[in-house]
Amino acid sequence: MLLFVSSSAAQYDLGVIKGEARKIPIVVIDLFNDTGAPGLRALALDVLQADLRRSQIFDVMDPKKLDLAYGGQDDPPADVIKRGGTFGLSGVAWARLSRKGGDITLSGRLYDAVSGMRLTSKEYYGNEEMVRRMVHAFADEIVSQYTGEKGVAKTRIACVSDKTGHKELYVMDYDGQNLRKLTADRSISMSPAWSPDGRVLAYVSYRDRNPDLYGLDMESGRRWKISGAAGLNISPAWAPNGKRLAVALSKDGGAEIYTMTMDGNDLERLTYGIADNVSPSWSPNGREIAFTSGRGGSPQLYIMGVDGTDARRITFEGSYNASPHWSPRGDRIVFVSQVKGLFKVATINPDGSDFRVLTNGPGNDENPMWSPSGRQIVFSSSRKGKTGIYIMNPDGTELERITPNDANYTSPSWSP
Amino acid sequence: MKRTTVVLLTLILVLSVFAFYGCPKSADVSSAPESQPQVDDAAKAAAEKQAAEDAAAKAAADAAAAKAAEEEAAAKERAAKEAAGLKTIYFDFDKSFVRDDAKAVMKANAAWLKANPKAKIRIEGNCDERGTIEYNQALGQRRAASAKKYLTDLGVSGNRISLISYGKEKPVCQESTEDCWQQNRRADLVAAE
Repeated sequence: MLLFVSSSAAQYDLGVIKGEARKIPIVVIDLFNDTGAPGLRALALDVLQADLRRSQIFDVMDPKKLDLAYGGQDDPPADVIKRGGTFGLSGVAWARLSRKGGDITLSGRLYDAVSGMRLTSKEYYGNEEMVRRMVHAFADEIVSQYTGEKGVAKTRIACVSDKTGHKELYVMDYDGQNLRKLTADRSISMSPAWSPDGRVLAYVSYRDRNPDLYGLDMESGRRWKISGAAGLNISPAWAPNGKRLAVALSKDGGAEIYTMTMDGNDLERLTYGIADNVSPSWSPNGREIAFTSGRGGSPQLYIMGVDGTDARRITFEGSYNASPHWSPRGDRIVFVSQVKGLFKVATINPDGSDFRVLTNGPGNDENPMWSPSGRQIVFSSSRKGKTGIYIMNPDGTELERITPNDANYTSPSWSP
Repeated sequence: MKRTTVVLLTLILVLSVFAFYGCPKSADVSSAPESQPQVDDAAKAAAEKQAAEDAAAKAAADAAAAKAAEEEAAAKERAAKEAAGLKTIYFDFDKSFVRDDAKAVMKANAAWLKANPKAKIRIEGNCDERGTIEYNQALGQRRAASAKKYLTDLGVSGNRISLISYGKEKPVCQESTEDCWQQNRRADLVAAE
């Protein structure tokens, strides 16, 4: 599904470098630090290389191993770049950090290694605290040059942590940095969900001694109660157009799925089960909703139309399948499945075929969700130490823990 | 590993304090511009590290205090509940029906409610750690509702009973053993104010 806007990827398909054949070989030849702050070069270089690696598009090569060296303060000359091309590289990235007073500029360059031609030239402005974000923006620019897709390096992940002794809502960069606390309710928070425009977090809190649904405007800081009906007001999921939320309410008895506006109006009931129906997730075209239901005697995944019709079960393996999240392309659903007593991340096609368990080992995994590019899955896991947040590829490889072991981190939600 | 870092940081801090106060007073007045920034930076870095550690220690202490306060509140609630003669009932995994061994307990709870006609109660549904946060919230709600139905079937007025589900958020036992899980799959009956 890669949409190459550059011919350079095709050149790689001719294959000079061995390794992961589908990835584009790229090198960050250097990052010249002209700011006088000695730590910035290593920091920016680390962030850029990690971003490119995590994008899943690139095979990020080590310039030293390729015997490519360039330490100049000006844009690297064509012969240096083309030398990379002779090693089979597709792209060569280079950047410079410079300073004017307190202001820092990141000048990012990307070259086609074969022709030596400059593909992009961007300046990012900020201060020392913003260097990470500036580098993330450059990484996304590189991803977009090769794929036409929006990268994920500038995205964030909302989660819940018990750092203070209470489960409060937090937000961090997608690599786990810059953790920031959002609530101080001294209660229990859970299930954050970003609106498709990234402006509002819907979440559940017990602050009024009932699991109620709240909205938090991430720009203004305004917070409001979306739904405070008697009983459960839980598991919010935004429609792809951002106009409605699917939620689970128990006001009529058991937990049933409803849709409503983000002010809690225009309520529409979708399920009439005899057992619990929770954890809705919209298909990317907005026409169907996947959810967990106990109607068959154990929690399993079902799909129904957005009007509640045509409900059908899609999981038949295992005694407990729950927490579905539909991939951005609509081709897979990620969820948790109980395997030998432990909960593991699994994926399945929406028609119920090709059930695959992705994780193994000790501990329980929970609340899996796709990144906005569909190239990563985020989830929480108790596999090692305290419960932490992990990201991995859709095939379960390249697992990376992004939160420290100082507290429990749960309920991850990846921003658009 | 951590310990050595702490020791190192402490050493740096101590050294930088010496660097500051070791200077004669006149040095402060004349202020040596060449060396001062270095000392400043080291001291500042050490102070910041110390401040960060202090903050972390304070956060941990706060967390511990919050936890202690919560446990105390829970203990008080339990004591009040015991005094009120209300007893917890337990459930099977992923089930919400009132088990045979819970029926006598529920009859005693109903008798207490009939003997205290003005009392109101809250039934809190809870689950063990297995399964998802959201599905367990639904299951806890079902357990609380099931306990309520048992009481109303015995003639207790439904409007004296409120429900809340905590899902798997309020375990009384933290281990991953069947014994522990059983203690957590419960409905607590709490006298409501």
